[in-house]
Amino acid sequence: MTQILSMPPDGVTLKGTRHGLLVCVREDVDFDQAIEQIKEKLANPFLTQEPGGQLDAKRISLDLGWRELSSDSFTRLREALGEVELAGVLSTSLQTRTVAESFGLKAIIGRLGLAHHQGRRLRQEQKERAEAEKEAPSAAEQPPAETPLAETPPAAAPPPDADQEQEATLYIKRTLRSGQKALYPGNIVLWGDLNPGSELEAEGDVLVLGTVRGRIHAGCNGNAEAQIYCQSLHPTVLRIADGIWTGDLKETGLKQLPAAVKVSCAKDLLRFETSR
Amino acid sequence: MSNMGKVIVVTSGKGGVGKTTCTANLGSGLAQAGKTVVLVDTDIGLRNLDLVLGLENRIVFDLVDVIDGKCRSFRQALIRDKRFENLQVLASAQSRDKDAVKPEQMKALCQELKGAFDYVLLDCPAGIEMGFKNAIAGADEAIVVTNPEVSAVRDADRIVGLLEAADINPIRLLLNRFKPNVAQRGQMLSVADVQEILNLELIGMVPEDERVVHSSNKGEPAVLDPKSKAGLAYRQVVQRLIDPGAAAWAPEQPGLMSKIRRMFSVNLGSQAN
Repeated sequence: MTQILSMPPDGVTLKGTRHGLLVCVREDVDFDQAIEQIKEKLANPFLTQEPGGQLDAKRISLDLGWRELSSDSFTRLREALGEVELAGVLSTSLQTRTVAESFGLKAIIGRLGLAHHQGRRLRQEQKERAEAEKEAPSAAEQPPAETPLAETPPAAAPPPDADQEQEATLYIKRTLRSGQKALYPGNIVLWGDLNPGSELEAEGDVLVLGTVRGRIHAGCNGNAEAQIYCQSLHPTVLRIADGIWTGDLKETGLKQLPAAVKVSCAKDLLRFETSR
Repeated sequence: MSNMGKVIVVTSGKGGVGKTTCTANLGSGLAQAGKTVVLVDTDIGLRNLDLVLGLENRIVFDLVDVIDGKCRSFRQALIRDKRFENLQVLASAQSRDKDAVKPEQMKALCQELKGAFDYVLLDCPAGIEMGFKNAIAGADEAIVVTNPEVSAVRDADRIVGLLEAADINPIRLLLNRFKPNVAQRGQMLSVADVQEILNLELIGMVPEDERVVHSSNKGEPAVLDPKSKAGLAYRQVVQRLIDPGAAAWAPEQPGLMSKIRRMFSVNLGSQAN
């Protein structure tokens, strides 16, 4: 369980998305190591081979962040992937996107890797595996077919219900600095400061244990039930679903900022409650 | 491994905060302390470092010549300082741009340089584009220079995020052009305000000093001027670079009245934020 909560030390993380498996490669990892790690991760027996599924290891997308790849390195990457089909590339680097496009691949501007995305599906799978191991200590020795994965709904099943959604939480234990952004399709807990110029965007709730000077958007998919809790809120932009607050003290009904507050949304207006 | 030098990048994000002046002063200070030092100007296309040291007319080969292999070895391109034999400068090219060099090439050059010198100081260009990526490619450590202004602090924060992602450690902060009495009146960010955002190890605080501009224009680093307050601050930074544990920087102790004034000023500062 601790492994899930703490930041994964790996340079490569897998994320199950609607469009299939997304392999996030951190920019600070040596390229050769990254290739090795991708191969290692894709060899994981828990990944299904079901075509078109969320965890289909035979057809993946790559999130390369701002790493700049030459066409030589890209050729090496493709050779290393072997039979695995590349569906597309996500990158903020123009060079990498151009190279990917020259290989006839779809390349999109974007980046999810920085937040060390752990896909909801993958997390759930890990949790169930951990629980199953608790029940049957020898579970690890069983062949993959009998692992708890077989009991989870098939990859093409409808999205998890609200209860499960509330459980999916991204835990970040560091300070987010200017220009850094974390997006997550669940809740975000930030144990550190949110510096000016940084952003948190979550489909669920956001909890910040440090100082908030950056922007937060909770319930970014339109979920007005989402809430923001912070210990030290400075004037900034907060959003919950369609409600926006732009740092005006008068609108909060509070005596002063910074303050420890719980923020919720009612009729597109943000409501502030002191939590002390 | 033990006789390998350290590669330190001096960077800031924002322009005009004093990266080049700091590089020249810290380099001269380290040389004065008996270390062998090479300063590399990585700001290709906007060459400055040689001017601040008064070495402009001695440039024959530059950084791009070394990387393109136009001179026999990097040694041929090094310019020896007027005052210290153990201080050398590798100037940048003025007629090329940042794309003339690749990060891998800079990395290889830094490896070579750190085998031959105790300290390799890289003067980084402003911005976060190619020039910045080149400059940090070979760096082991970083000194982030910032001014007590919100814009400079914001940019420094961005830079620190990028340096952390590149596994550069330690990252230390040098607060430049600080005016203690203005900060005490609450009209400028204080050290505490800056540290609240950046939260880095403070290697030094250099006060605003008109002599610095004068000495830069003359090509004589302020660190060698015994009367300059900034020079004194730079000498303290040099001491801390050589021995991180030794001369811990101590802020001047304010009196009671100024303490009270400061308490208010911090509040005002964060409101204005």
